[in-house]
Amino acid sequence: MGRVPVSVDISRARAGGWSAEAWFAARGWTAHAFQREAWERFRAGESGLIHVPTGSGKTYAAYLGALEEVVAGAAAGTRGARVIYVSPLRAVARDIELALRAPVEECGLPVTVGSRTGDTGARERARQREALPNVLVTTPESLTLLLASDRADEALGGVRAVIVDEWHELMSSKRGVQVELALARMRAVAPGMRTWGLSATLANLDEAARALVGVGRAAAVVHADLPREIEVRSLLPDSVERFPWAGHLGLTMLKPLAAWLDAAVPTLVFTNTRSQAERWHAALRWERPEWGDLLAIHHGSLEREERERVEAGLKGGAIRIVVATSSLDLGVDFSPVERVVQIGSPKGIARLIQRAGRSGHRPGARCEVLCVPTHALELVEIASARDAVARREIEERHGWRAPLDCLVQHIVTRALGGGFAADALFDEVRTTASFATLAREEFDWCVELALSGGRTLASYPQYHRIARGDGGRFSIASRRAAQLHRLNIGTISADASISVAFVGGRRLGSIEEGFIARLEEGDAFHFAGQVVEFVRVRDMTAWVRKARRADLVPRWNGARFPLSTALAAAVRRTLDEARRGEFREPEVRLAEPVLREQMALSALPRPGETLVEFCNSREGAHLFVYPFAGRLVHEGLSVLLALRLARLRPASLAVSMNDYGIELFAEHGFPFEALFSPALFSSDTLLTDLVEAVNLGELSRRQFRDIARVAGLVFQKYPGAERSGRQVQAGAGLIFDVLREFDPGNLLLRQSEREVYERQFEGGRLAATLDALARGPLLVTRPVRPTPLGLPLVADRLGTTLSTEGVLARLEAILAGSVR
Amino acid sequence: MPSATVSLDGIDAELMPERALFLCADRALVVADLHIGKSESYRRFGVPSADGIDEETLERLGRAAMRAGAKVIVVVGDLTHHADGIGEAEMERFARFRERIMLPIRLVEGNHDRGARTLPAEWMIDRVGARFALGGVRFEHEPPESSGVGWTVSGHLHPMLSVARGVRSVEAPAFVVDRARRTVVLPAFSKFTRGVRFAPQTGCELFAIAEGAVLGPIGGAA
Repeated sequence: MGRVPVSVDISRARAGGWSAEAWFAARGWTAHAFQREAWERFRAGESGLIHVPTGSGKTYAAYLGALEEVVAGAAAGTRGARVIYVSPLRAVARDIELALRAPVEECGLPVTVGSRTGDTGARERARQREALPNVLVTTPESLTLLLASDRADEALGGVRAVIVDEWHELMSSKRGVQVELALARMRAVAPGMRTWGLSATLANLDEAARALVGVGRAAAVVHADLPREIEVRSLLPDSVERFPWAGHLGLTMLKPLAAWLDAAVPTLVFTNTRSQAERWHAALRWERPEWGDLLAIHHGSLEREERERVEAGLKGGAIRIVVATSSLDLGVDFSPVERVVQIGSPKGIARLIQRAGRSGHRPGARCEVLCVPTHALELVEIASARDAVARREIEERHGWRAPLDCLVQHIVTRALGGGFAADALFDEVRTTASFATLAREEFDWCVELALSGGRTLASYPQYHRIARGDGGRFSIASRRAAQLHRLNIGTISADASISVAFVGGRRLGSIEEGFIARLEEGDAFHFAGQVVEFVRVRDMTAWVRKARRADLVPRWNGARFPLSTALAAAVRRTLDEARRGEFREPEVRLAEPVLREQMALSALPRPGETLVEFCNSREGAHLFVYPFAGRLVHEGLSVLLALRLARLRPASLAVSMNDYGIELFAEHGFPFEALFSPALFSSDTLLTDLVEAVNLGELSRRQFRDIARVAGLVFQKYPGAERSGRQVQAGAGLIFDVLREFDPGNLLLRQSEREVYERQFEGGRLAATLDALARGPLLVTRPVRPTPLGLPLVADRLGTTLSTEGVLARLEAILAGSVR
Repeated sequence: MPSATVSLDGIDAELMPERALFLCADRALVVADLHIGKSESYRRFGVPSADGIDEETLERLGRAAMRAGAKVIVVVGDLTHHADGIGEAEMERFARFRERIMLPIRLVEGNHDRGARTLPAEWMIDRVGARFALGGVRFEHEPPESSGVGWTVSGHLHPMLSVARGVRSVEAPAFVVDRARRTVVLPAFSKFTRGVRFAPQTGCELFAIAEGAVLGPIGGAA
């Protein structure tokens, strides 16, 4: 949409006859069909989802209908919030605010516009305590904070519409659950409030729409009619000989990429992990020093100021090339990005389409993404992705089912926000998709947790977060409890990590403590686009100074996107073609030697067939299984298999997995083949076995860490000096161990087990995979050494082990082998 | 035989899987780092914590004392975690424990004990200061650099044996017997603790507690 100087028909606006169409016309813009439809539906009182693949025009599609009503209604010119716009990113709040102000200022409408995020200053907050602006831009956390004030009902009672941006992203996160719970409350105090969401492409848009508008309500889906051709291109090595077969950080394509990039053309370079981002940024800077500050890095562990500097620079033109992770996936399309690069596999089709859609902002420009493979098998993934994009095979996204940690947090929020009665809150919470099937016992358990710390039989008079008052209403127990809760509402998305800063200077960002713990003074590493060396850790900060050169890059344990079902199916098809001797796409032709080696040593499976490899190498005994179900499912499958095998014969097994398959590894002579049978894939005792397997491993503990934070078992921030909280800063890990031993029925523990099953292992996908393994044909081979498919698993062993040998037996085995 | 026996320059000591050391000649049961009230401290700070930890701690302490036939209990520091953690329930629980186990309890001052200026009289704790001696053995909460002549038994570090080889790894609470320095470091008596990891090394004998037995010495003389 071009910006055209216009003369605005102010009199029409003043007469209250202001309309979206009129404003567009006055600006010389043509409204798209989907925008008109969205406005019509809003006028008709509907709620729903607007599906906009590329993001253009979405803000006004959702907003103008609501603005119209505010202007025309009896409440015009009065104080208080009428339209709330929720964005997951506070960084774009300013830009959104500008966009929402535009029609108001141009037409002189009697409407106030403002924003409320973690960045809002004290004076503005004070003003807002008096009265919120009519149109408020905010984040899920700040919205929750508004709910957590004792005048919440009053402040939010006049809201006519809530718009939620990037709903596809929010709905599959706990922040989305937070939003759902907030909306449920707002609907209760403001009946007639409409909810509209903005979403990128998903396979299950109807489900997403229903989750947004609440249980039992009609949800419309408005589709943007802006088809754009997406072209998936790739940067290919000359030959695959020197090209790595495994590994993620491979910089073989560095020079070709550096040559292809042009500092005059604004470009986003996406990587799949923060480590990769640091590695590639450092490498590009080394390769093209003349780019200087035109090149920047952006990811979630950088300090907020730094991220904002990069975003502003990209928007304003001072920065041209940004190496980023999914941290730049969201954001209003105000940045003049022309080109998009994807390093490594995109892992999913919807994501690839969305990223490609960020490119080509000049009118008439195409949507293009350049994929850069980092190892041979990624060549296959890229070609498969192109195929799947052409067929528009897109993934679904799902919300969370009854995450009790979010409920506990919400209960304390409601206690703060005017108090609640248990029955009414239970009913209200059940109007959300996440908690539609919540059992009353679970709800009561959560209230009890907030009330007394958990055990219903014991009473701890000194400890309260909420308190029961006269008439059975619950409210906040103390000022301290209120303070702690408010301070920590934003910790759903926080990482447990340690801050990094220059000695005597600015903060750079944060790194996981595990990485810092292994450093010694003088160790140099890349971080935040700088080369730094470690000095010391003090006062909860890792201090560094500038260094000249480094090889080390930090490693983050954050969630990695797994290979999606859509892309996995496409990869299977490509491998099947190779099996039949067809090497169609240029990427696959290049990967031909690797695929032929796989067939020579072992085999390539048909779709529906699962390849199983038994291999005895110099290292030990290996079992490889390739379900192609994505790394998350494989995490569950691998420990399940390990447990079931180790039940047949006491063993200690090392476990490795990636998007294609799993490896179980044991000492020489372990009889994998003799113990193997389809019974290992039985679904009979899946859940109990998983719980046992997971408890024998680390996964449940890791999941519990996040749950503990959200539910308030551990706090990140304490009022006043951080030292005061020292004596209670047991890691969530210790609380987990202790709960497991002394309170195994604890529902939060159960939740971590359930979440590991549902989220980590993608629940339904794991069950389906197991089923396919049990029923489908198995293709068994006995390669003499690890194959091209197996090598990445061998190389990637992260140290997960599962053991059914007792502690004594393990100890004896370890000591027997050591030199004394 | 679930315990291990060591000789500290002629003084016999039994290392018990209940996480206690028993000096045979004086029939003294020696423990460290009970951290009574740690759960409650957490709750005071607004952090829900598990029930039953102190219950288990005291039950195990009583059991060890009975099994060994102890005449006296020496706590080498950190009997309690923090004054905030001693609520009515904790006071009650320990008092009931004292009704069952009436042996004298000598408390050597640890860093956490300083937070609890006065302990309830019903607990009948004999506070013997920062350094104590009994039967030729010295007791001090933090292990000294060197014990000089004679051995010192300490706590504070909450030692854990940590070993791995190939696909196997083990972490277990452990006694650390350092023959060069003549110090013994006890594992934390409380299970609600995290501690310092020890790998097998020369000069230090590690005795790990696993499956109700004490295994060792691991590592040791060069």
